[in-house]
Amino acid sequence: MSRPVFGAGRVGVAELVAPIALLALLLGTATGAEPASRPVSWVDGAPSDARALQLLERASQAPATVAYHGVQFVSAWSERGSTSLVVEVDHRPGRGTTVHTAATTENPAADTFLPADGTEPSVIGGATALQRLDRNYTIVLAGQRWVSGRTADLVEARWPGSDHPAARFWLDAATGLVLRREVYDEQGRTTRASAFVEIVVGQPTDVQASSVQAMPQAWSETVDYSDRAAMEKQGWHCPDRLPGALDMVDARRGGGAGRPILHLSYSNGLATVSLFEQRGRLDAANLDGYRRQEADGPAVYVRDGMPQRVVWSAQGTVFTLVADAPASTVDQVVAALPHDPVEDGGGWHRLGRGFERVASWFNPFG
Amino acid sequence: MIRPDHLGQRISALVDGELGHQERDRALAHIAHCPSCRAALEDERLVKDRIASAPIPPASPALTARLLGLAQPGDPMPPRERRMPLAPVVPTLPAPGRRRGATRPGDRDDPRRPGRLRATPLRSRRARYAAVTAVSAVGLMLGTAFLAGAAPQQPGAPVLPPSAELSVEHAATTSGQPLGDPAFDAVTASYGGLYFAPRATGR
Repeated sequence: MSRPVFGAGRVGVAELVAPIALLALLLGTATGAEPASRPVSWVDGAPSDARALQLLERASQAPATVAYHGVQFVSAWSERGSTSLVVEVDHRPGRGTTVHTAATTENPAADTFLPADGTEPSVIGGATALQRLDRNYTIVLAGQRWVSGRTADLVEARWPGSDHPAARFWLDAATGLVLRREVYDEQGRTTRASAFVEIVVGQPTDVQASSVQAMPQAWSETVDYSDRAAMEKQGWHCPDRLPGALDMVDARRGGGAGRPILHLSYSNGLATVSLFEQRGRLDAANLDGYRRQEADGPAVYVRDGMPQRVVWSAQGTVFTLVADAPASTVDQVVAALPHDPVEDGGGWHRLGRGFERVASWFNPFG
Repeated sequence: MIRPDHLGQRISALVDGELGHQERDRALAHIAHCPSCRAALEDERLVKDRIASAPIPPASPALTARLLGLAQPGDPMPPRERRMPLAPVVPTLPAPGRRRGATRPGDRDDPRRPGRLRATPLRSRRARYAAVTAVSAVGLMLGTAFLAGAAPQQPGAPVLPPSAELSVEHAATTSGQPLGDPAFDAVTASYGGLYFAPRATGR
């Protein structure tokens, strides 16, 4: 597969890695101050700013009419580590977005094409992403800033009942494009950020989108409400809502007839969570890249990153959680889903279970 | 058949010097004119001399070890059964000239009383056997329960989630959404996301 060729004469990715990495490091350092714990109460907060909502609505529609290309960094932080990537982006309205990632010591180079006709949420009657964002957060306009040499309106999505932002969007004043975005956890720490360090608007490049492999579409078999009700009777777990004000927005089935996989998607307008369910028990011995975590709860297997992955099995079902959400929200979601009782709550627990089992051997009615 | 006027079993008492003075004289006078009793006396003395002169065989190591083991501290003894007195216990004074707690030969508490030295180890041994049996039974029960109480294996066939396929599916459902982040969706689809390099501090 040939590598897409971006506009000649501009600054290359390799030359931008060092300053971008420095910028990401400074950003991470600046947000690494000791946080103040603020538990989130998902109640109606202050009303959103109408002007801020208009700007977000405009931003959500801008990719449908505005072409752009540029270089941006993508970074993520957590208590377990941090990582960054530099990508080249080329977007064409009506066609889609091509993203080129340069090779690093961790990953090979990759080109991905995201079609413009993305997957539509399958849950009928659900709110739009912007409506969920407005319902769960307080949207305010926080002034104007400069991003990559362009004037941008800064819009904040604040935690309910708080003045602290859960996310910030820098929206291009001229086109409405999202030039920079940052997402924070409840303690105010940056968990994810992406920003253009160079952007050219309205000039298509010579990237041959057709030569880039398109990202596969979502599984085609949707699962409607009646299907979910029938599946729940068969032991599948299909909650309409998860902690963190996460509402079900999509339900699909994949994996084929031999190994069906149920995929439930949740969102609160900012965080997104995918819950996958498969019948069986987790083959934990062959999990690669996961760490076992059992502090303060049942044992699960976690792969740190963005999105974060948590895998476990309970009641004959293997659950895989793929979460683009704050760690505390992920913990709440994991705790709210089925788990088998803690197996070895100590020797007494095991002895008690053993006595019950031995007694059942001699119970003629058992 | 032994004639009633013969010495019979008194020969052993005569050899052991356990006959009284007058009994001993009468026995010796009978032996003087009774060849059969004299022969029996000679036989008795010969047997006793041989037994006394026979070497004492050394104890086997196993027997020595068991005997020494009896002196080691063992499990606590079960409480002694004590009969409750039917009548109030009235303290009594010892008889004149007798120290408190002292015993006379033949008293119930006299350790020299016949049968006393044999009865106490027998009860101790039985108690030890009972204790060992009880401990073994409890251990067997606990061991069985511990083994039987092992966590049951979850039902179903082992499943390894298809990580790459699930990453693409997650990105596909979030891609193209309003205010979405195409760069992040592409990274998730290509690499499964941004995986963290552990911090140097090991946190």
